[in-house]
Amino acid sequence: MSRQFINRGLQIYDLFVHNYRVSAQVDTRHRTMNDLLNDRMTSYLELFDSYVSRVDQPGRIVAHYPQAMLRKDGVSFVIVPEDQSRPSGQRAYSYIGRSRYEVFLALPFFEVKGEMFMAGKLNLHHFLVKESEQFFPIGTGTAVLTLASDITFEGEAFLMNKERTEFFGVTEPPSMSTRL
Amino acid sequence: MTTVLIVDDDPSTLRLIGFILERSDFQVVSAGDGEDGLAKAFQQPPDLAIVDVMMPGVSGYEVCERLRADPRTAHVPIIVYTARTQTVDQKTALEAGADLYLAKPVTPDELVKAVKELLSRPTDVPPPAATKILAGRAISVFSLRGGVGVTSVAVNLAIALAQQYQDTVLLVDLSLSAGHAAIMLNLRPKRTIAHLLAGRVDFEAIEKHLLPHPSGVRLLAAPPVPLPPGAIPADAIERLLIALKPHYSYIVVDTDSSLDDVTMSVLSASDTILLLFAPDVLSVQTTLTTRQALQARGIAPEKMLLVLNHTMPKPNLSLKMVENALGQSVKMMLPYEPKQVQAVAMGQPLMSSDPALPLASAIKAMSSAVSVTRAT
Repeated sequence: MSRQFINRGLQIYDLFVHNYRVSAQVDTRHRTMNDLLNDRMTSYLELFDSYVSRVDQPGRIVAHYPQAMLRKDGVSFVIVPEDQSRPSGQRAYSYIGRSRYEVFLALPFFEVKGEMFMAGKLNLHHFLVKESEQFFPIGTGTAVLTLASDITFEGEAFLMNKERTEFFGVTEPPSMSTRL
Repeated sequence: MTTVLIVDDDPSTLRLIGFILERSDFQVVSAGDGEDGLAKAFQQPPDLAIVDVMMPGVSGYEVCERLRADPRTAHVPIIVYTARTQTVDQKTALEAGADLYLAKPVTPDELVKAVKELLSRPTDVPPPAATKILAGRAISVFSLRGGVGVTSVAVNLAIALAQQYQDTVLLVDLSLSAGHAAIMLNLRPKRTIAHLLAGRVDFEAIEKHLLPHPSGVRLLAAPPVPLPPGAIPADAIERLLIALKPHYSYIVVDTDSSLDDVTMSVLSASDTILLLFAPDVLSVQTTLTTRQALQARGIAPEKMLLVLNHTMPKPNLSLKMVENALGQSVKMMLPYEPKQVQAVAMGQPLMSSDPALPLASAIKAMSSAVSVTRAT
């Protein structure tokens, strides 16, 4: 997804909540979206200039609100630029080899495909249960609306809500890579 | 010089795009929202339009549809420029009638190249049509205070619209207590709305009861004698407006200065309500209470547009005082015109008889601002 700097730290994101697509400006306060979503001190995201569309008619704007609040728990996934998908300070490249996994996730109303790069072997139980971050990134994501498979959304990266993820499948055996 | 209209609610984007294009020798016209963009486009059609999608009020898609629907701007190449970058957004933009879709941000070279390519497109290639079907729009002119010029504004507005849309503009005189639209148009109707509603209301019956005027407007006249209260049921009026909409582009309604059931039916069925008032204390006060009363009865505030009509040479209140009292800016203003009284007496509306007058120009601008067609 391309980035639009409006002013200060405001950028436009596509956030998907249950039945709706919300395009809005979010002030990340010069952190990344990964940081903001995984910040346990806040339960809500403050949105500016929100444009709301129903997921089955995602191009049609049904509502506009200059200010809104969004429960993080209610977010299924957010489409972000690649550099916004990482925690601040995490490097794009690593000397440690990482394995590339192709993943398939099922959420309410969506199925999402993408890729993850993990150091070592991916332990799904550990990843979903033990790791504390609620939102995790996948790269080169494609989301398909389950009941209308001609409606798709794509982006450099998706930040996925673990609590909304009902099915998490790894579709490819890992291959070694030095990319994050 | 080639003129490019930019429509975007973000002032920074307007400045940046304007700067890029002016450096490439384009003349730039900027609009901060969809309505402003449409008004400017209808008043002076640009050579090309660049339209943002996410704007409050009228979205960029609606701007595209309305530009394509209007004969004055149907030919204008349109670039949709948006931060919504999904495939579905591109498809929606093209369905709305855009020629090209650009995702924000874009480099100056890419933007200028896109503009130049579109402008060099052969003119015999028809522009993409909006795929949505469009239907008629009812515009009511209303004031709870009589004597502010509701009928003359309705008549002249209908003529201004008819000058562009010919046989598809109706003027419906629903001032059932004292209908004067026919007099102002120098017409002598034999059949009125009362005759129409006494029988079956279908397209053929409606057409038989319309009186044509040389300006292109067709009038559905009020009865010459005031009817007793309740003679025409309110729901019959609502059904009539609904029956009219599919067949006519614009239906301008002259209303009574009361909030009876008939008028409320008209206002509820209208797409736009022009709230007319004069710059005097009583008229402003009445407009305030009218707005509150209409909202309390379920009329959406977005439908109501304030129109300040200078009926006297010297206003009692300044514009600033009026806007402070009403709590909002007044965007539509009609200047005082000394020839208006004679025009009414002679049955020769100024839009037809003297279109160069400032009042006629102002009404033409108002017709541009309200001239839209709705999606079904």
